Amino acid sequence: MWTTQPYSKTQAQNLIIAGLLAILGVLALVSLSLGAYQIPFAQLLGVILNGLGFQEAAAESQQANVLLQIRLPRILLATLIGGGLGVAGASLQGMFRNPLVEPGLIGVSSGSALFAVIYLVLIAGSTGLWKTMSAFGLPLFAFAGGLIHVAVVYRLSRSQGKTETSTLILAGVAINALAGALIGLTLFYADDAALRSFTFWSLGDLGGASWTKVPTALLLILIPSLFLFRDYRALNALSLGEHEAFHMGVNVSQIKIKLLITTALIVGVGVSLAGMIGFIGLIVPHLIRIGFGADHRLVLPGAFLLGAILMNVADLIARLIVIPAEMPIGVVTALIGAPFFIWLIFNLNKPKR
Amino acid sequence: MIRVFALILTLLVVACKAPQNQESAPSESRKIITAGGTITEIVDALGFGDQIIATDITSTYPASMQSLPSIGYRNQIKAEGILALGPDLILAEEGYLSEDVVNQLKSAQIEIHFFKKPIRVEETKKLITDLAAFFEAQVEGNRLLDQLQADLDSLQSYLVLHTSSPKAAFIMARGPQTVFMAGESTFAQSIFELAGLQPAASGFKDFVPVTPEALVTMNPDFLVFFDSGIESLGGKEGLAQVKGLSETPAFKNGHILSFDGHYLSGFGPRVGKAALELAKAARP
Amino acid sequence: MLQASRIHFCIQKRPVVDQISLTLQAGEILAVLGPNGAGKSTLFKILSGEISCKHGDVDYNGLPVRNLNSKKLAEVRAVMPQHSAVNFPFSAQEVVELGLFSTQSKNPSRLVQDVMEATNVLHLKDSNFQHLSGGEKQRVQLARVLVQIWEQKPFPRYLLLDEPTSSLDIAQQHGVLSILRQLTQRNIGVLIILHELNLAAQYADRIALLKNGMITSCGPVHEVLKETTLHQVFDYPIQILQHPHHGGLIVSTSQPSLQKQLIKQA
Repeated sequence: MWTTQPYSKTQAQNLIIAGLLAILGVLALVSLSLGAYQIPFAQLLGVILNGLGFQEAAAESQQANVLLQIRLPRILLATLIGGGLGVAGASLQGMFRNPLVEPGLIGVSSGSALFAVIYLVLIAGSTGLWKTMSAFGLPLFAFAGGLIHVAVVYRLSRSQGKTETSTLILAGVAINALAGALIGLTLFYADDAALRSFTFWSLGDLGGASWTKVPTALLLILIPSLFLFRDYRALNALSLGEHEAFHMGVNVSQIKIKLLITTALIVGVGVSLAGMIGFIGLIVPHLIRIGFGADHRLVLPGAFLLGAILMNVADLIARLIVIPAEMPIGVVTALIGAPFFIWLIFNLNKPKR
Repeated sequence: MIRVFALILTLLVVACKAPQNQESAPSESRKIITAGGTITEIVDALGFGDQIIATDITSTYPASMQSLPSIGYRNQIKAEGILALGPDLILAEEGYLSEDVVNQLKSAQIEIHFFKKPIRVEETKKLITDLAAFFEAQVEGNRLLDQLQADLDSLQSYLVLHTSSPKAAFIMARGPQTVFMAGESTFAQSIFELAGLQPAASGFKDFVPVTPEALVTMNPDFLVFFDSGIESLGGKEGLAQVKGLSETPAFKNGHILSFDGHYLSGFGPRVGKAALELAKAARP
Repeated sequence: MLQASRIHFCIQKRPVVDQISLTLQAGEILAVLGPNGAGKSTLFKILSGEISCKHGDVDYNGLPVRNLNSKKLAEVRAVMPQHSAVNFPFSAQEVVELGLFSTQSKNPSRLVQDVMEATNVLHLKDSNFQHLSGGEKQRVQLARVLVQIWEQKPFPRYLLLDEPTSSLDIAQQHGVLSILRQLTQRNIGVLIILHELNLAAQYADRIALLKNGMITSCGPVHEVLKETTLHQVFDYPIQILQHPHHGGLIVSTSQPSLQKQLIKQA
């Protein structure tokens, strides 16, 4: 472990992580107790304790069902997907050395959505083996789509060993437009019953959360995220530039491939489970950096936790604001995120001193 | 930090003040939520309308249903919203609720039954029979079937006397940018055939966007709309703005027909009456 | 020893580095000078391992550079680039700590502190790197690069710098170069591309002159800095003078005719 101050900086970072975890825990509890279906807090505790095996079931079984079958998986999914988007955004920003990068901008999200939609069209009407395989088949196919798209964007934006920001953003815009058009086209020709609606894909929706989706998220979002945490030293080094990182001893091409694949996986799976949800990957790394510094040892796990927190907050708003209907969560994150994005651009152009 | 705690405490207190769920009602009187206008209408016609506590947006008949709480429309319907209303039973059209919501309702262990939405008279009869059997109200069911048969007989007598077969095309409109025409395998084809009209659309299934040339080529004698569809285009005057509609002879002759959406497409107990009304309107 | 043998590199069939051989020993400073377009940057990138060269060999302590992975290479040589941008709000200390990536130091905090003191940036350690002046940034980068090879090892290490003094004022320039002089006592060999001939004359042990991709002359300072050689390499008349007090070599590019005109106008 290489750090200079023997205890204070590392300890401070650990404290911040612990603090974020605590906030997430409290938020999860609050989120569990709120929703269109009213559950008194006393009953909530009863159900949780019963679920943990501490207490006999006293609450109505339907309350327990809403809590355990609908809300709890939803909060878990929000945590995992939000966290994945956060850490993926932080990694991509580190890799492209650009604080304006987020998975949506560079085409990972729309690419994943496109392939997810294509997959659903392909297996539409099929039953049995294909249907059960779709629990993993769909997310993995979406991952492939995200990976292809981000690779194309990356390739387009490289020239003479440098990644031009403006080309990067333009390439992302182009790929997003293409993917969006193809998604619309596929949905136009697809059988209505086989596909979820266009608003699901383009605006995101956690409402379909169930326990069948949680293992996918745990395996294909949480575990890759943990792998990303370990690369903080290389990401720190990459912040100086690819040549400089090479001189410092980083295997640059290897780390870039690893980052691209891992972030495409995390984002692709998230999109296949809940549609395209934007801005989280953009905002949370920033907030962490502004608040606590740019060291990736903190930024990566911090972005995961803050992403989980933000996603849960957004989902809570989405669920409460137009009861009994719900607002698509992508709308909420856009309403929070777009003004932040504008503020960010405005701030970047201000003089430094 | 303190503000965060205060906020959390406030939220918890609010949650605590939520009303207790009502005790489950006796089995004769259930709390039913219906999803799908035809199901709602039949359940009401069978005499169980007062047990319905909430319906979806398409359940517009009888008018009393519109004053009930609404659970939303198709994919926008959420499981928690339904469960919050405390139903004992959900009766839904197949494919109306999204798969995820169905799974969630099932895991919440609420009783839910699905019925195929009818797009043919035979299917209407089957739905009435099935629902009557479900409610063990076969007597009422048979009464409905008899009424339906009587309507169909009136329709037949009319058609025997009026053998002309004008061509009709159904236009689905949700605003000037979203104008579709109905092809084969739609309710439109079925109701046209029932009313002795010749469907102008052929060679394609379901709904496709209106193209100016296609409609003129099909050359319908009558254009049929939902009331809501014509309204979204700005009334009969607004139709002139829609390319493809204004060129048709039907438009030029003023042969524009419009009906209540559910009445025309629901294929519910009143389908016979609807077909007769349509048949008469197309033979002025 | 860092040894380059007959390295040859072409861009679009034109030789940019033309059969160059040179050596760098630990404990010496070798300055590489030449006009623009002489091929200095390309030579630099080949020596640092950034560009792989099909013709010729580059060996670090006997090991060919193509056999060394990036981590192994980083243990034996450090590179200071001409420009480098940092897009995130790292503190100066965090930037310096990046140099620890390839080291396995037992006392990293001490190491970083020593180096930051030597480069006179310790007082800036908590400042936001992006807010420092050009000169301060350069010194922090130098500290980072030095951290990589500062600690004593049983084998020589090498430091390659590409015009590190470009944004520094006079005092800072000499400050950096005297640090580099100190490095030679730590079993480190320094190769530095310079534009300023006098800095080379004052601080380098050997000089290599490059023109059109070839080494025109390479050897101890007083042997290479000859007026005819310099005139040929730089296409400009150059005079070598001796400092009246300490006898060191001074390189002058001023022309008598221009000075006469100035005196006449005065």
